[in-house]
Amino acid sequence: MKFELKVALRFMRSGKSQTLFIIVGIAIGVAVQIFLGSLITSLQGSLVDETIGNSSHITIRSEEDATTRILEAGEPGTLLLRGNASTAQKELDNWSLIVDEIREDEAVTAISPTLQGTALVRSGGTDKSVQIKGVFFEQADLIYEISSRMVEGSPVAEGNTILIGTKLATDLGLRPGGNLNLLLPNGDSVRLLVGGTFDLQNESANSSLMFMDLRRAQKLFNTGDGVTAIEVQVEDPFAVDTIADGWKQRLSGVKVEQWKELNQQLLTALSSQSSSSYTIQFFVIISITFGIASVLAVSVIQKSKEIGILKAMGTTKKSASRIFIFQGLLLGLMGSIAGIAAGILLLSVFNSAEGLTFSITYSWANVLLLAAIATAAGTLASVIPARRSANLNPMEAIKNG
Amino acid sequence: MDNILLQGENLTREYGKEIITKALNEVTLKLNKSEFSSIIGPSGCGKSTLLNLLGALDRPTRGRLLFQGRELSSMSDGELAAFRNRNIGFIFQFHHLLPEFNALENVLLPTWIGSGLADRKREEKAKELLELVGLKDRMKNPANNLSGGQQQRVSIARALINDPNLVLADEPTGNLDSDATEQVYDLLRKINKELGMSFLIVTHDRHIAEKSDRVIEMSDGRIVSDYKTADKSPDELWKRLAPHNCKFPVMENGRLVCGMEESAPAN
Repeated sequence: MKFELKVALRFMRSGKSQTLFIIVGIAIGVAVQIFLGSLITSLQGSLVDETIGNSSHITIRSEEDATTRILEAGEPGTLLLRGNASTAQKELDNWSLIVDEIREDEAVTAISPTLQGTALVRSGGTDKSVQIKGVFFEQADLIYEISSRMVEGSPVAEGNTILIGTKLATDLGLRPGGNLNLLLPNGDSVRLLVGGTFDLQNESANSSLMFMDLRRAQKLFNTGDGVTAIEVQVEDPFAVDTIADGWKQRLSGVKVEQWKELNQQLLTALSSQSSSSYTIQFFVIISITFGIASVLAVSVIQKSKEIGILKAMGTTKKSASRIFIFQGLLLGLMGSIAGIAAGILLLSVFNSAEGLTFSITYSWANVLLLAAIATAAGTLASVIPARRSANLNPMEAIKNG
Repeated sequence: MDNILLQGENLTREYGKEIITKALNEVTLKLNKSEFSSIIGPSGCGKSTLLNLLGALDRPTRGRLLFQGRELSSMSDGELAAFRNRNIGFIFQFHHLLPEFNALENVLLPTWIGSGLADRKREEKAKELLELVGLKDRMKNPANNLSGGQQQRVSIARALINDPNLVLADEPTGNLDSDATEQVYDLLRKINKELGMSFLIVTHDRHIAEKSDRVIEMSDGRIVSDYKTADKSPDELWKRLAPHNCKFPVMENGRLVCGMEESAPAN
C-alpha cells in the first residue's frame, strides 16, 4: 500500500462522522441514479415491447407500389384484381433469395414471409372486411406468438383451416369448428374452417385479422409463389436503423421499412423522457462532486498542521496532493458501493410491490458505469483541495501550532 | 577531513512586498559535525527563521547555504523535500505527532515518506529508537494518548529514524514541565554523544543553553555572539544567559538562580 493512501485512510477515519455523512450523501445520489435510470429504461422497454414486441421490426416489401400499377394498368384486366388483392404492394418474386440472404444476419431472430390481402366475410346480412395474413404458421408464430395467445381451439393454420381474432369471432358468432364464407375482390367465394381464435391484445388485430397458410393464400389471391412482405424481428429492436440501412445497400429492388420510421411519436416521447432522466442524473453527479469538494476543502484546513509536519519531514507537493486525491477517490468509491447496494435494494422493494404492470430490471454495465462516474467525480472534486494541500506552507502550519 | 556540516553565508530573509521586514540580516555561520549548539535570543529575533532556513523548510532572500558542500538554493522544491527527509530531523515545540497514528507509526512516518511503507528492518529500528527514548511499552498507543513529555520523546525518535546528519529543534521543551524538560534534554544530549549527529536547538531555556557545546546569541536578525561553553566559566556563562529567560534572578546557596521561571513564551 502506498504511504499516501495510508495517510488518506487515517484522515478519513479520524473524521468519522464527516466521512460517514458524505458517503451516505453519495450513496443516496448513486442509489437515486440507479433507481431512476433503471425505472426509465424498464418503463421504456415495456412500452416498446408492448408496441412492437409482437409485430414486425423490419418489413421488406417490393419497391414498386401497387397503387401506381393499378393506375398504369388502367384498363380492366387480371392485374387490377390482383393489385387489389395485394392491397398496397406488388409481390416480391425473389423472396426466398432475400430470406436466405437476411438469415445470414446474426441480429435476426425471426423471419416470416407474408402474403397480405383483404377480403369480405359474409355473415348474416352484413359483410365484414378482414385482413388476411398468409404465413408459414411456425415462422409467423415466432413474431406474433399466436400459439401462446390462443383463446379457443388449437393453433393450426393449414389447408382450409384458419385462425381468427377473438373479437372477429364474437362479431361473427363463430367458434372453432365453425365455417365462414370469404368473398374475394374478384367475386369468388371460398368456404373456410375456423381452427381457433386468438387474442393479440390489440383491438384492430382482434377484430379483423385472420391467419391462413401461405400456400392457401397464394392460391386464393392467385399470386403464384409471391409474397407481399417479409416480416423480420431482430435481437435489439433499437438497432433496426443500422440493420435496415445495411439491407438497403445489399438488397436491390426492395423497400426496407423499420418500426422506428413508423413510430416517430413514440420515439420522440421516449427520447424526451430519457433526456429528462439524464438531466436529473447529471445534476445528481454535480451535487455529489460539490459535496465531496466541500468536505475535502474543510478537511485540508483541519489537517493543515498534519500536512505541514509531513512536508517538513520531506513529503513532496505531489504526495501532499495525492493524499487528498486518494480521499476523493475513496469517498466516491465507497459511496458508489453503498449506493449500488441501496439502489438494488430499492429496486427489489419496488418490484415486490403489488399492482405493477412491469418489473424494473437493471443492467450491471449501467450500474458499474454510474459507480465509475461517481468515483471519477470524487476524484475530480479532490483536485482543488489537493492543490491547496500541495501549496500549503509547512512553516505556517507548524507555527500556528 | 572537513568537519563542517552546514555553512550559511550572508543569509538574509525578508518578508512582505511593500513593507519589507528583515527577519534575518546577513547571517553567516558554520555548524560542525557532532556539535550540540543552542540558539538563544528574545522573541522575534529571527531564531526560528534561521532554523527554518538551515532545515531547508524555507529559502533565503539572499545568501548561500551549503550542506556538506552542496548548494541548497539551486535545488528544486522536490529535491529539497527529499533532502529534508534524508538529512534533517525536526523536533518542534508542540510535538506535532499525527494523532491519526500510534507512536510506532509516527516514528516510521519519515521512512514511509522517503522509501514507502515500512519493512520489518525499519520497524525494528523504530522500536529500538522508542526503547532509546524510554517508550518501548507505549508503542501501540495513539499519539494523543500520551503525555506531553512522552509525545516529545516520540517526536525525537521520529527525528532520528532516517539517521539525519542534523537535528533541528525549535523550543523542544517549551511547553513541558521542568521534570520533562530535564528528561528530554538529557535524552538529546545522550543521543548526540552516542549517535554523533549534530543538534541545533532554539531555546528560551537557560539550562539547556548552558549545557550545550556552543551558544549562538541572536538579536534583531543578527548573531550577536557565538561561543563555546567550554571557553566560559560557569558563573560567567550563567550570567550571560540569565537575561534570556529569567525575570527575577535571585541568590540561592551562593549561586544565582532564577526566582521565577518564565512560562512557555509565545513566539
